Amino acid sequence: MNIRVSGVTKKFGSFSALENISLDISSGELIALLGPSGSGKTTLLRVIAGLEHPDSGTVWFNDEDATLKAPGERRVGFVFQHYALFKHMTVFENVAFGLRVRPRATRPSNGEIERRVHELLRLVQLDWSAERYPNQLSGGQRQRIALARALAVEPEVLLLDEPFGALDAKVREELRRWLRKLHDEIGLTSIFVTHDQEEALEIASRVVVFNQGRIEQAGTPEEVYDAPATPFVYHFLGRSNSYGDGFVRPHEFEVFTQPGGDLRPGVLKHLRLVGAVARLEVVSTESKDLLEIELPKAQVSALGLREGSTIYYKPQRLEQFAGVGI
Amino acid sequence: MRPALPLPRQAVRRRAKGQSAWVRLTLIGLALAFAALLLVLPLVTVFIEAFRGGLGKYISSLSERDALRAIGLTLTVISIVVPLNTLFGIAAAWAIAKYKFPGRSLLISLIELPLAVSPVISGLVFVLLFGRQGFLGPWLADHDLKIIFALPGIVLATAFVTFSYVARELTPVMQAQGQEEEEAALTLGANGLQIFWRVTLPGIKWGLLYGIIMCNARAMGEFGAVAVVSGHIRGLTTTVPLYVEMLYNEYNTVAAFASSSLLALLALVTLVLKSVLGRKKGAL
Repeated sequence: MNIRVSGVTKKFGSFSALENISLDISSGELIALLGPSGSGKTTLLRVIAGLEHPDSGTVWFNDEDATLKAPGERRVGFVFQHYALFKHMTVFENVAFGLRVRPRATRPSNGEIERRVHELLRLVQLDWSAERYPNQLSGGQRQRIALARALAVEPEVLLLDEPFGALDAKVREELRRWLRKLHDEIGLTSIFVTHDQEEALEIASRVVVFNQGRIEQAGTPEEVYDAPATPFVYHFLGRSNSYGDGFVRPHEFEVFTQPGGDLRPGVLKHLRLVGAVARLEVVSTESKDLLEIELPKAQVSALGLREGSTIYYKPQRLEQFAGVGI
Repeated sequence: MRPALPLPRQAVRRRAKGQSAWVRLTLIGLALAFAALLLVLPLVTVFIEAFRGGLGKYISSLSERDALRAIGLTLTVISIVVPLNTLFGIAAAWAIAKYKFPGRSLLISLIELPLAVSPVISGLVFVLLFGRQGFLGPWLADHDLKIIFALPGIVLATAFVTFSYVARELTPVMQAQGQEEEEAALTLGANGLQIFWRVTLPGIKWGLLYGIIMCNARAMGEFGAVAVVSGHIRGLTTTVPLYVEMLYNEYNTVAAFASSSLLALLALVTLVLKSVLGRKKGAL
C-alpha cells in the first residue's frame, strides 16, 4: 500500500510534535523514521496508525483519505516498544485476538483461527509457546509474538515503534536481521521508528531523519550517510569532529609520523586498541582542539604510535554546509 | 495488599544481629496484645452474647418481623448502592488514570472527600438539602417526593459515604495498566465494548472485586449518615446497624448481639476475601 502524508501538523499543548510533515512511502518499502527522542518520529507513526489525530494535514492510504479512519479500519499492524501483549491471555489467544473481535459475518471459524494462529506462530518460530503466558517468555520472544499478533489481521502496512528498544544488544541484532528477512519474504510496507542510527542504516531501504518535529532529510542509507543535507543529519548519523569550517568523521583522517605539505601537528593523548580499529584522541598543537581519529590497528603498529607521540594528520574528506556552522 | 517479598537470607541475618531479641519480642508482644484487646476480644464477645440464650433464641430473634425487615432494607440499599458506586468508580478511575483533562485534580480531591467528612455531617447535609425545611424541601413536597426518612435518603447517604472505595482501589491499578494494551486492541480492530470486556476488565478484575468488597462492607455497616436521614421508623427505615442500636437501647441485649453477629460475620467474610483478592491482585 502506498502511504502519503501531506502537511501533517500535531501539537500537544504548546509542544509542536509535528510541523507540516509531508512524506511519500511506496508499497513494499522498509522505512526507518530516525531521530532523537521528542523529534516527532513516534507521533508520525501513531498518526499513520490512527492512534493520534493530526491537527491539520492529510494521511492518504493509496488514493483514499484515511485521516479520520479508526485504527481498526486501516489494515495496519502496530508493534509497540514494550510489546503490549495481553497479559491475561495465552500466546495463542493474543495472536487470535484480531480475528476473534471481527464481526460475526467476517469472523473465521474456530478451526480456521486455529490454523492461522499456528501458521503465524511457526512464522515467528514460537509454535511451542501457544499455551504459555507472555510473562513466561523472554523479551525477544514477546516481541515476536507481538509481531505475529499484528500480522494476524493481514495488515497491508506494518508499523513498529522502537521494536527492539527494550531488548539487549545481542537479541536486538538478531531480531533486526530477522525482521529484514521477514519483510522481504512477506512483502509488506513497513515503517519502523528508531533512535539508533546503526539500526536504521542497516535494515531500512530508506531513512527519514527527524529533528524537532521536522524532516531533516529522507533518502537511502547511503544518501543520508554520504551526502547529509544538514549538520544535524551529519552529527546524528555518526561520530564527528569539527574541523575548521567543516566536519570530519573519525575514520576519515590520514596520519603520518613526519611533517610535510598540508599536514597539521598534534599530540596523541590516548590510544585505545579495543575492537577492530584503534581509537586515537589527539590534541591539535595549533588550535588545542580535541580530535577523535580512528585507524586500522595494523597501521598504528606500523607507525609505532604510542601515547605522547606527536603525529601529523590531514582529513581525507571535509564535509561543509553552506552558511551553517555548529 | 501485596505480600512482602521474603528478604534475602543475608539481610535477615544482619537484621537479627542488629536488634536484640527482647526488643523484637516486646514489639511483637505489644502488637499482639493490642490486637487481642481491641480486635479479637470484641469479636468473640459479639458471638458469645448472641448465643447467650441458646441457638433457639438466636434464630428466633433474627426471624422476628422487624429483624427480617431490617435485613431486607440493608440488602435493598446495598443492591442499589454497590452497583452504582462500582460503575462510578470504574468511570472515575478510567478518566483519572488514562486521560489528562481540566478538573482532573479536582475530581481526585472530590473522590477523597467522603472519607474526610464525618458520616454524621454528610447525613445532615442531605437533611438540609432534601428535608422539609431544607433547600429543595418545598419543591419535593409539592411533587409528593419523599427522600428524607425514606429509602432514597438512606441510599443517598450510604452512596455518599461509600463513594470513594472502588475508585480509590482502581485508579492505581489502571494507572499501572497504562494504555498500550488498549491501543493494541484498537489497532487489531476491536471496538470500545470489546476492549473493555476483553482487555481492560480482565486486567483490573481483582482490584475491582477488592474495591467492591470494601464498598459493600462499608455500605452494610454504615451507621452515622444513615442514622441522621432515616428517622428510625421501626420496620420501615431501620437498617441492620440502626436496628442493633434500637434493640440495645431497649435492653434487648441478646437480640442486639444476634443482629450484630450478622455484621461481624460479614466482616470476617470480607477479611478472608480481602486477603485472597489482595494476593491475586499482587500476583498480577
